[in-house]
Amino acid sequence: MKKKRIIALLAVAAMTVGMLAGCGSKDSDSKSSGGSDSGKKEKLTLWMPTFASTDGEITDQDFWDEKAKAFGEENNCEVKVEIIPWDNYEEKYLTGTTSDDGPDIGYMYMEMFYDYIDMGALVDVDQYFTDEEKSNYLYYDLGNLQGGQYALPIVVGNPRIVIANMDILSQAGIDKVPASWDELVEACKAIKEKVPDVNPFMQDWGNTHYGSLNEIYWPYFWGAGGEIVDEDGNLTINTEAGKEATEFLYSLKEDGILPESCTANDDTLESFKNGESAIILCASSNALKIEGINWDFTPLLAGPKDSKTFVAADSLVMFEKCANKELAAKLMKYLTSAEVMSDFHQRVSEQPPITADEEYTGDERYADLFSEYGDNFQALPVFKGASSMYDTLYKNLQSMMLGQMTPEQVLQDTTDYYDTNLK
Amino acid sequence: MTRKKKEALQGIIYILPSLILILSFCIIPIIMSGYFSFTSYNIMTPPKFIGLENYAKVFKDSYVVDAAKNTLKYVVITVPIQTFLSLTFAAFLAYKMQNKAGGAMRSIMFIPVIASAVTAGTIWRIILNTDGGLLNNILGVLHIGPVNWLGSTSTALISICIVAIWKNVGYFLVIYYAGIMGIPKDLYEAARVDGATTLQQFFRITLPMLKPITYLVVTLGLIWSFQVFDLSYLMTGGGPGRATVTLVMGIYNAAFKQYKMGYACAMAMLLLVIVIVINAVENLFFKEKKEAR
Repeated sequence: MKKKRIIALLAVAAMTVGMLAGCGSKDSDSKSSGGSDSGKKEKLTLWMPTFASTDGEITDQDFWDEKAKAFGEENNCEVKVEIIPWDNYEEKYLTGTTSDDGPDIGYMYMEMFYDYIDMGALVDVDQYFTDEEKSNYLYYDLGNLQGGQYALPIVVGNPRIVIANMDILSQAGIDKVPASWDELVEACKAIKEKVPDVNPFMQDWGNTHYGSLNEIYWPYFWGAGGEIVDEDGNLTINTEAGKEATEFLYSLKEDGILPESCTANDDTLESFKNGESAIILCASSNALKIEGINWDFTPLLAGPKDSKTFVAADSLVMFEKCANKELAAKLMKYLTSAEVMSDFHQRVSEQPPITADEEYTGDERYADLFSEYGDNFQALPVFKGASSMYDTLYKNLQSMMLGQMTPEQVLQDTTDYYDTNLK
Repeated sequence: MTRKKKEALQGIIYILPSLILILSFCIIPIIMSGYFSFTSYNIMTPPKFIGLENYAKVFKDSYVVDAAKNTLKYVVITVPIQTFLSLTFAAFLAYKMQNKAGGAMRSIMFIPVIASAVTAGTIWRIILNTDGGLLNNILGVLHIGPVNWLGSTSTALISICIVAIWKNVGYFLVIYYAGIMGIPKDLYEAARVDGATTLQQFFRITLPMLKPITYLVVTLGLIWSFQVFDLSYLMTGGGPGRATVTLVMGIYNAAFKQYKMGYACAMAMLLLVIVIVINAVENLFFKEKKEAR
């Protein structure tokens, strides 16, 4: 009996010690990431998102591991690559950063910047770049945010373009992709009449993430001459331009150009690929995944005031916690070099060059896209509470599409909510 | 050391592992949340004490108000239905299917419980798809027009409730089944001798004997329902509009999208209070009934 009790007590003690050990601080391995121990290899952590398609030539992990290995051998260091999926991307960065388990170099999109810069989590990397290096970058200035060079643009592209199923268009007696609001309405009406089995136009109002706004709202908003925020960071969507764009989208639904099911649709491309929809707006790289459909595109859908469309401007960032900033800056330069980027664009994701010394190697159809329409491509602005504002706007627009809000209410309510809760 | 003290020490040692876990992952986080709820805190910089400001804001936030309404609707729909269905299925399996087929049925009904919310959400999104979804195809065969299940404010929350009920019934069924099997058989035999019908046996013996189980099922159901997040987040993202936003989604958004941890903690504390109050009321209800009996 006594023996049993002793064994039980020992087991309990072992469990307790085990749990307490689990709560302890990190081992010496993590300390070495600071690179303070002489003789040990410097360590850097790199977080990158997913770009490679599932049936692509190489996975993201393999691609960046290959590049990290090459950099490590050349610089006597070790680069640990972690691929962060897009799902809950912002949350992963926040939890990683706050638990001191985040990267030395990360990849961020515009909506994420304000808070990280505001909280002093990012490094102004300007001092690590020579004038010559800066001038080689085509979009270096896009990384100048809130008074510092907190970002180094790495993916500037993937504009949202208008694509159309030319077979359906020709059945409706149209021979070119609509390039303006009026042409879009005209084409859709013709399709509705002559090819009633397909959706003339499709948008994914059933998506669970506000990211859809990049193709279903901002191109129209900018086309009407709107600006999301002013120079002082005030939200300026509730304007005549905003109203015009929002009313236009509402009219597409009211006139039956957009089907009722658009409020449940979360994959516009799929509907296009299946031949169920005639015209959509989508990312240029996604359009290249379409097979078996005779499609054509136009880069812009001209609005009454302007012709602009969304373009991604994602960047590499260096975190303050990085112990060896010189080495991290070197890695950033290496990752954005023509050598690495050219390989990335050919093997992982087709994007336009980001440096002057890289040649365009993408699809021929897009050869002129970036050189001719660069001025019409618009990135999202950086401002406080951007993600939540977009989410609020998106949800209000969904309500409008369901007939529960008017365009005026959408803009007014979003602005009020932003000013009261998010600013 | 006296024998009494020795025993007390041994007792403490035995409960220490559980105590450490509960303290680390329940008690301390609740206390910390309580403290943070009175601060302006963005996680990366130290918290600043602001008194009741977060609580005052919570009541004025239209998002929170909508989320609270949706959560309440969700609770009112899911808890009674899943309790009723699990009890009914359990009684059916216990009384009418005491064979291999019944065992297989129990296992099949438990599958949704072990399926992850991601899997369940994804599968149900496909089933409930407006264009070409399985459910609408079935309705089509019956000459009923397609329903915009997840894309309409009138059906989106109900759709999520259906999935939640589908996912939870198997779990509560097992609990009820075990409870029914534990009821002494001689009670039924005596009732039959007295001429009680099957229905009378169910309402006069089974239901009263299952009162502690029902208390557990309702309590768990209420707590889980107030915590609803994953299905709504995965299936609709809170939309369309704010039709399926929930309180926990509001907490999540405030903490991880707006970096307002203090505000999120204030919402979490309010949710905690709501759950405690409802459980206290439920406790009173079950206690009164017990005493009345």
